[in-house]
Amino acid sequence: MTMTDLDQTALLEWPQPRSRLVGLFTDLTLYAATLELALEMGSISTASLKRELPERLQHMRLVQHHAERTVREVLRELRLFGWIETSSDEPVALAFHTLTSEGAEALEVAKTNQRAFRRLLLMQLHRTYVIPGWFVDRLWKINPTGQGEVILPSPPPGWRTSVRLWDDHEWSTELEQITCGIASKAKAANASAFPIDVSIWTAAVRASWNRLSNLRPRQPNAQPSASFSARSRLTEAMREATVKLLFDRRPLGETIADFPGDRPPVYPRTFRGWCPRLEAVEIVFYTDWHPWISGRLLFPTAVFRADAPPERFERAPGIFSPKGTPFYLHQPSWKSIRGAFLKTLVSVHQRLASPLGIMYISLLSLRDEVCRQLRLSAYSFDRFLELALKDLPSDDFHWSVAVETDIRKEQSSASGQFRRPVYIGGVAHSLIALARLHSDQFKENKVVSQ
Amino acid sequence: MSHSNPLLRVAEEPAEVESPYLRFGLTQNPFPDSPTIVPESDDPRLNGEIYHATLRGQEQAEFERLLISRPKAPASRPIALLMDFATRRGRGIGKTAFLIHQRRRIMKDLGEELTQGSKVLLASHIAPEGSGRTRKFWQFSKQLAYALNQDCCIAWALWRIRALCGVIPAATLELVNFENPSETLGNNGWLSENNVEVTFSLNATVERELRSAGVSDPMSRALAWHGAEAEMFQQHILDGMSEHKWRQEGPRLVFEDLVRLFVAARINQVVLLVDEVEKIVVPQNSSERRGFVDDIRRHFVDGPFESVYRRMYSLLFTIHPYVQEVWSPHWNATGLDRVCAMSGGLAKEYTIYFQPLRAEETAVPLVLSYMDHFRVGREQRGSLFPFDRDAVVAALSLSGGVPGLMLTLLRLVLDKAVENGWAEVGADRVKAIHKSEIPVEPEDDESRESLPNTQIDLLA
Repeated sequence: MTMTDLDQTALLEWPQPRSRLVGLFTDLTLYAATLELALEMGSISTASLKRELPERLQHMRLVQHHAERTVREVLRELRLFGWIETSSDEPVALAFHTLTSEGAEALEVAKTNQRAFRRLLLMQLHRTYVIPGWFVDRLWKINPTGQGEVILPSPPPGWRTSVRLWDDHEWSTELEQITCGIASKAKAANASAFPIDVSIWTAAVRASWNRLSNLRPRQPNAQPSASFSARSRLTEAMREATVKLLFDRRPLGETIADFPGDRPPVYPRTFRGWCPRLEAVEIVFYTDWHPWISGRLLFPTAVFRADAPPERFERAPGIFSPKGTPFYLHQPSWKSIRGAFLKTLVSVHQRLASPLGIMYISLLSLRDEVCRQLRLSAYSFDRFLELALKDLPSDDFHWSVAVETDIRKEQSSASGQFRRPVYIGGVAHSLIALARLHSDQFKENKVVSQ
Repeated sequence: MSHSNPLLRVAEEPAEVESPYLRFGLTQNPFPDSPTIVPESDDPRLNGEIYHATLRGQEQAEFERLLISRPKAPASRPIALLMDFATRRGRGIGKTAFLIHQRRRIMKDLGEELTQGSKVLLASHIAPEGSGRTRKFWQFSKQLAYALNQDCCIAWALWRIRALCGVIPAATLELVNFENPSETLGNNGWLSENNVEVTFSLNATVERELRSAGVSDPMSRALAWHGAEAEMFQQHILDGMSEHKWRQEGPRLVFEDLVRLFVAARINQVVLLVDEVEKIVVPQNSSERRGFVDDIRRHFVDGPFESVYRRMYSLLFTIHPYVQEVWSPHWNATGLDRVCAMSGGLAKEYTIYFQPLRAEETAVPLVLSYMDHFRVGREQRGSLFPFDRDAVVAALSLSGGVPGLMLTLLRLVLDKAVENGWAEVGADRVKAIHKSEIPVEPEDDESRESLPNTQIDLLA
C-alpha cells in the first residue's frame, strides 16, 4: 500500500469518537431537567440528582424513580458536552457539578425552543460519539436504492412458545423454520431493506442463539430449574445477528472499515439505546409496531448531500461526512408538504382500515407508515397533523378527520408504553378516522392539491 | 362587625337583575354550557328537550327501519349499532340527544304513531357506568333493570295491568291523565280517594295476574306492590338487592320476570338504547369481552330465556370508535356478526351512521330552535338576531358540522357580544373568536405484501 492509498483510507474513515461509553438511557429530556436542577441547586451530585429528579412520563410510561446508573450517565454525558463541570478530579459518582456558561445557554434554549434544543443535542452527540452522522451514513450504505430503509426482523407475533428449562436450548427445526420464514417475509416486504442472504442470516442467528444459551442465568443462585422464554431469546438472537452483520465496522460485503481499530461502532446493547436517541434528535425514524413488518423498521430522516432546498431541508451545522459532505435534516415546510401529507394520510388510512372493515384505526400505525413514505420524523408528523386539523375543513380536501385519545390495548403493555404517542396540542392521541364528506364527488387523486 | 347566627342565617333573596341578553331579545344565553346531555336536568338546553328532529331525518329513518316493528315492513333487527361517521371530533355530534329524543317519541304514546297503532312499545335509555363498573354482564343487567325502572317502562306495564285488570271502576279510569298516569294510576293515595281498594283488591289481583303470567312469586309480589311507582320500586326492591343477588338473579329479573311482566301488560317490544358502550368495553380484558359478547348472544338472540322466545328486547348499541375495533373479533367469534355485522361491508346494513351536519342547510334551523325557546316575545321567534345567517353557517362550518361544538362556540360568541356591547354578530366575529380559542382537544402476520413506495426522495 502506498502513502497516497493510506491517506485516502484515512480520509474515508470517520474520526475516532471522544468517548465510546454511551449512556443507555433513552429519555433525552433528562438533560434539560438535570441542567435545570443544577441551576436551581447551585451544584448537583449523583445522590442529589437521584433524589430531586421528579416523576416523569416517558411516552406512556410513568417513571417514578431513576436508577443510580442512569443518573450517573446523565452527569457524565453532560460533562462531556461541557454543560456542567466539576472543580475536582473526583469520579462522576462522587463529584459535585456546577452549570457552565454553555450549559446555562443550552438550558435557556431548552426552555424557549425545544426544536433548537434538539439540534443542539444532535451536534453534541455527534461531536462526542460520532455515531449520529455515521449511523445515518451507514443506513444509506446498507440500502442506497431504498433511501436507507432497513428491516431488523423479529419472530412473528403469532408465534407462541412455552417456557423452556435453561438447559433445553437445542436449536430446533422449528426455530430454523421461523428464522428462515421471517427473513423471507422481510425480503418480500422490501428486499433492499434486508440485504442479507437468508442462509448467512440464519447461521448468524443460530450462532447468537447458542452464545446466549451458554450464558448463565441472570438470577443469583440460579437453580437447574431456571427457565427462559424461547421467544425472548430468539428475538434477542435475531437482533444481535442483524446488528453484527449490518452495523459492524465494515459495511456488509465491503473491506474498508468506517472506523480505525477493531471495535464495532455499536454493540447490540448500545444499538438498543441509540435508536431512540437518534429518533429523539430527528435524524432517524424507527418502529417495532409497523403493521406490515415483523420486527424493527428503521430509516433515516436525514441525508448527507452537497446542498439542499431550504424549504425542504435544514442544515445541521458541524456534521460532515468523511468526504466533507454536509448533513441535512428533512424538515419540510407545511406549505411544501401539505399536499403530499394529506394525500398520504388518506391512502395509508384506507390501506390500514379496509382489511379490518373499520373506520377508526391506530393513529400510531398510521403515523409510522406516513412517516416512512414521506421520510418524516415523529415530531414533524405531530406538527403537520395538528396543522392539517386546524386547516380543515378545506375546499381542496374533501375528507373529514377525527382523532381520539383512548388508550389502546397495546399501549398499556410493557413494551407498548415505550411507543411514542402522537401529540396534538400536547395531548397524546391514539385513534384516527377519515371519511369522505357528503358532497364530495371527486376522485381521490383530485382531492388534494399537489 | 357583628356576625349573625350561622345556624339561622339564610341567603338573601336575589335582587331582580335585568338579564344582559335582553337587549338581544333573549331571556338568557340560549346555548348550553355543558358539553353533554343531562336527561335529568330541568334545563331545556341540557336535557335534550330542545331538539330539531328534521335535521336528523335520515338517521331517524334508519332507526325506524332497523328497530321498530311496523306493518308491511321487514322485521326489525334484534341488535343494531349507532356510530358517528368520522366527525372531526366524535363527541358533541348529538348521539345522546338523538337517543333521548327517540325514547321520548316512543314513550309519549307507547309507539302508537311510530307503528301506526299496530304495536305497543316501550323504550329506555341506558348510560352505562364507567370505571369498570359495567365490565360484567350481570352489572349490565343491573343497569338495564335500573334504567327500565327509571324510564317508567316497569311502571307503564303495571299501570296498564292495573287499568286492564277490572278492579278500577270505569268512572275512575276516565279521570286518569293517560299522558302521564304516575299521579293517578301510579299513586295509591289517589286511587284510594277514588274508590279503589288498593291493598287487598288491586295489588292482590295484579299479583295473581303476574303469577299466572309466569313471573316468580317474590317478584310478582314486589312488582304488584311497588312497581307502579318507580321511586318506590327502586328503594324497596332494586336498592335492596345485594351484589351477590344481582350476580345470581339479576339476569333472571331482566330476561325472565320483566319480560313476562311486559307480556302480561300486552307490550310487544322494548327498545333498549345503550349509550356510551365504550364505558363497558374499554375497561374489559380480553376474556371479559368474549364473555360479555357471548352473554349478549345468549340473552338477546338464542339462549334459553323468555326475552329470546318473545323477541321482547331490541338493542341499539352506541359504538364509540375504539369499540368497533376491540369488540369486532369477539363479536365475530361468537357469531353475532350474522345477527348484526359490526365490521366489514355488511356493517352498514345494521348501523346508523351519524354524519356531520351540512352547515348551509342545517345551521339556521338548529340555531333557531335554541333561540326561539328563549325569546322574550313570540313575535321575535324566527329571528337570528344578533347573529346573521352567515355567522351561524360559519359557526357550524368551523365546528366541522358537529352541533355540540357549534353551540359551545355560539355561547362564547354571545357572551362576548354582551361583554363588548356588540350591536350584532357577523361571520367575521365568529371566525375571530373561533381562531382565538385554543383547540382542545394487530398485526397481519400472514401478510406478505410489499411496502408501498415512498413518496419523497431525500436525494432529489
